[in-house]
Amino acid sequence: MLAFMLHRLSGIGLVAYLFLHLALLNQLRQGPQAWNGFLELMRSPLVLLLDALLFFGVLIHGLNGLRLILVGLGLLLPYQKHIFWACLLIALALTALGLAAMAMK
Amino acid sequence: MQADRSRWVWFLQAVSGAALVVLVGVHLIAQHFLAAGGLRDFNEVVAYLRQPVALALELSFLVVVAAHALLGLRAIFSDLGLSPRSQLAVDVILWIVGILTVLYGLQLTCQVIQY
Repeated sequence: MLAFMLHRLSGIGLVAYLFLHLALLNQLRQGPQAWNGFLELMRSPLVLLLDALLFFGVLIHGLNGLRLILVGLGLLLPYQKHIFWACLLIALALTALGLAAMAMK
Repeated sequence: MQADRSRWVWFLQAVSGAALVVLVGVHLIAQHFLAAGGLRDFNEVVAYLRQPVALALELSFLVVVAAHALLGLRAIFSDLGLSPRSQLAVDVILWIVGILTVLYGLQLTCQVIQY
C-alpha cells in the first residue's frame, strides 16, 4: 500500500512539476537578461529545498517504477517487499547526499 | 480487445519509464550536476542545445516524458472505473495535451537555438 501511494503521489507531483518546468522555461524567450535574473531566484534556499524534494520524487518514482516492471514481468516476485524497501533506502540516501552537497557549496 | 489495449498501455508505460531512467539521468547530469551553480546561464543553454547529440537527447526526453506522464494520468483515470464513453473523452483530451506539449517544447527549442 505504501509503495502504491508513494508511486501515485510522486507521479502526480512529477506531472505537475513537468508542466510548471515547461512554463518556467518560457523565460528563455525573453533573452539572456530575463533568464539569468530568473536563475538567481532558482538558487534561493527555499527553491533548493524544493529541488531536494523533487529529487527524492524522481528517485523513488524511477526506482519503484523499475520494480513494477519486474512485477509485471513476473520476475523476483518473492523479493518484491525487500526490493521496495531497498528502493526507498537508496532514494533517501541519495537525497541526503544531494542535500549535503548543496549545503557544502 | 480491452485486455489487449491494457497490455499495450502497460507495455508503453514500462518502455517509456525505462527510457526515462536514462533520459532523466542524462538531463540531470548535463543540465544541473555539471553546470556551475546547478543551472546553465542563457549562453550555456544555447550552446548546449546547438550540439546535435544534446538536442536529440533533450527532444527525445520531451516526447518520452510527455507520453509517460499522460499515460500515468490515464492510469489514474482508468482506476476510477470510467464508462467507455468517458474513457474515450479522457484519451482524446490527453492526446491533445500531449501534442500541444510537444509542439510547445519544439517551438521553444527552435527559438532558443536560433537566438
